[in-house]
Amino acid sequence: MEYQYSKKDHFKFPEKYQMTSFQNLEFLNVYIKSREFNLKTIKENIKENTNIKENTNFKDISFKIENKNWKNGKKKDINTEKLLKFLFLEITKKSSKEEILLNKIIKKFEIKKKIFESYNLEFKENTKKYSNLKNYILLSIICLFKFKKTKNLKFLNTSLKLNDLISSQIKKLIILEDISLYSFVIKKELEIIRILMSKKGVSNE
Amino acid sequence: MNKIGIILTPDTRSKAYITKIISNKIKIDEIIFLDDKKEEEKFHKDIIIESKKYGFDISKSVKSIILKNNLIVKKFDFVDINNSKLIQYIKKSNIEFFIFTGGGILKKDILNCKSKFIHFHPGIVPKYRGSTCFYYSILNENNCGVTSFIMDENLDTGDIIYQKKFEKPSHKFIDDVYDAHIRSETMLDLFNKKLLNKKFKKQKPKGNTYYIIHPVLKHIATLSCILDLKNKSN
Repeated sequence: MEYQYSKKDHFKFPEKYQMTSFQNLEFLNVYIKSREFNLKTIKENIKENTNIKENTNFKDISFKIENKNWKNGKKKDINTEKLLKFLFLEITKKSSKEEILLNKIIKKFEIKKKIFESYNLEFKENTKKYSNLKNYILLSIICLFKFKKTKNLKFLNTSLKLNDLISSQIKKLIILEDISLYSFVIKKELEIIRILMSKKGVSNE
Repeated sequence: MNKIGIILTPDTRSKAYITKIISNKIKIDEIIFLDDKKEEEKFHKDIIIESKKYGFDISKSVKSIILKNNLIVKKFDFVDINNSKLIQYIKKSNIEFFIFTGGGILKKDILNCKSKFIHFHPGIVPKYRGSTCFYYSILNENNCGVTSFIMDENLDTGDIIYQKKFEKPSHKFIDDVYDAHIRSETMLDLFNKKLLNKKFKKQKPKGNTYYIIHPVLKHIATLSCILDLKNKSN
């Protein structure tokens, strides 16, 4: 058995996850192995390139954002990468009022299975470009952070889907920051899933 | 007495609903069958056995149940609840409430009919709106729930008729058998307790909408049901 949900190219063949089959405990074993294999592969890529600081917790991740304004004033549209960086900074603060925006972008991804590089102010995509992996990684980090904070499974669920998609594009991860963030998000996902399995009495030992 | 109808589609839920209506001798004023004549799924014998334990036979098609019991039905050759032919038909009907077994959102045209549409949603709203809520509920609370409500233009936001909680299943056939079982059992309460004569409750707008569950979470939820049973029996 292999973990099929990150095998095919999610951009070409979007995964809808409808009526997925139950494959017993073995499924969770192959899922963990698949994620660990990806981590190993990506680690080798980092070594080949340069030394990069490994992020171990959410506080380690900071984004240099020159302009916090994610709305492009003149064009009246939303730059998704800027928005996601802004959202991450906002949700890590104690009182976050950005829940509505986050829910909107999660809904967009859950329905379209893509994150477009820009949207208009009504949150309708106004570009055909959707292959910026950083957007998927950023949203996944935000979702995992939200799950850690709220224990709302909605966020973990979306992060798992985002991580499947990013893993399906692992060969296209060439920007060092993206590689580092991918490594971080997969480690966090595995940590959370192992805790959940243990809490629910599901052991893969 | 309220005039009540049911809209069936060729799926597992409809099999459970109509079987329990027949076996419980419930009076239904109108049966509509939306049938796109797609070949029905074949099921493994273990699923069939489990469905029979819950009072319906998943291997029997809706069409065969209708024929066997000589039910009078109005048939349409599509499954889209928003189809204009169906809307025209319902507009002329004197049915006060239709039970809608299928999924999806009802558009304005059908909602403008004088009949109201009842849905049985497998989650206690507003906490569990959206898709595959039973899995999320198993993971969060070790049980499941069903809400029957009057459908409106939004997803799972209509006025609540009744809510019921269920123990989590002790088997793995959650999508095919358990879901249909808990919804159809809630439907029986609706009739037996004459709940349509009571005042419906407005939902609080703030809630939680879930999207279709990822297979990793689905496996943890399902395994927690099976392993829990094994632990209890040891």
